Amino acid sequence: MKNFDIENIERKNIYKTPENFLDQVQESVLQKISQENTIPQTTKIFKLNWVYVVAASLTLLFGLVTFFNYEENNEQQISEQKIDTVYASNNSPQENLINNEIIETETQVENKGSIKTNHTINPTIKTTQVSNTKSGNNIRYANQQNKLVTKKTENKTQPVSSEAQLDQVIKEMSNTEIADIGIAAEQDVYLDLYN
Amino acid sequence: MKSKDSEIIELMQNERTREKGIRSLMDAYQSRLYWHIRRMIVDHDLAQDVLQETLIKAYHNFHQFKQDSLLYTWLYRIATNEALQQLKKLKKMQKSDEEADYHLQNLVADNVEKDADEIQILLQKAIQSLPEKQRLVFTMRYYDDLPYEELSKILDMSVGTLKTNYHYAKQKVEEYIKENYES
Repeated sequence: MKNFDIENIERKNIYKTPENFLDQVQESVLQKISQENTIPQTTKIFKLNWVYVVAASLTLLFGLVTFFNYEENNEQQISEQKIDTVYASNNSPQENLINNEIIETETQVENKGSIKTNHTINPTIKTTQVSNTKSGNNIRYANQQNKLVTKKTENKTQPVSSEAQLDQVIKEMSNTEIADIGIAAEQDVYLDLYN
Repeated sequence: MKSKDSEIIELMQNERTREKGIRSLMDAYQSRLYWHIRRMIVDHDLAQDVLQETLIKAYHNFHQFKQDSLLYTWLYRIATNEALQQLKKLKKMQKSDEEADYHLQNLVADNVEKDADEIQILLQKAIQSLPEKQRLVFTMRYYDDLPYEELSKILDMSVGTLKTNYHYAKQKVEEYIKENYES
């Protein structure tokens, strides 16, 4: 094949083809065109710009964070108020005497040593110590919890942290008083870890 | 052909007669377009899909035909772009361009008619061994006898480059056939 020239070769399409495939192509094309013409095209009412989407998402996120923070602060304030009412109040010592103070009563003690308990204004207060005397003695019923409350509240117009108040009260108490509290109170479970 | 083209253009430009226009267009050019695509892609089913896409695009974008070229030039341009897109997809499935060309050469043997001449088969294999641009230039010049001026509009290449490409492609094809032909 020295002087082979492809220009001399017959131009033939030698690939296999299915019968009437061109008719099928025509039908397929016309069908697709008619389908596209009959389907109603939806028109956009507005164009959703991604910038607005991002801005809206950030605004929503900020709102949610603010809302949850507000709720958290609100709950914290409520719990702090409760603590303040229990451990600190703005009342005068006189009012404390009426409500929760040590109540001194004079009773006549029989020889048998029967003791009459005095009811305090607050029925939930427990009596912890009673001293007996034969006659004319004053019986002092001390509620250790109330004593703490009384000593804590001293004409304070502004609420003070409960821990600072507690420290102050403990400093003013004697060793026997502290020991009494320890006997009456339940030991903190977690103190076992440090014993 | 020119009078036929003007009729088709007139039908296609009028919305009421556009369907009739696309029918006339398909009758006139779909066979040529199909074989142009088939020589590039080899596989019949893929070639048929590409042809359908070409015709649908021609229908939808006919308003872009400025009549600064012949109608078939514009159609060949669409078909060539669609075929190249399909070849790109096929190449992605292969590991390399060489493997893709080798794959197309093997496809020739599976797609030719039973009574095809050996030289004709070698000619098709040789065409598949050419680079894409050379393959396009060669097939459109060799099989469709398109003028270089029209080829220039289809492929965005100068007439000189086209002539050079065709010359090299023809040499390669002849060498391939000589090396592989068993007399």
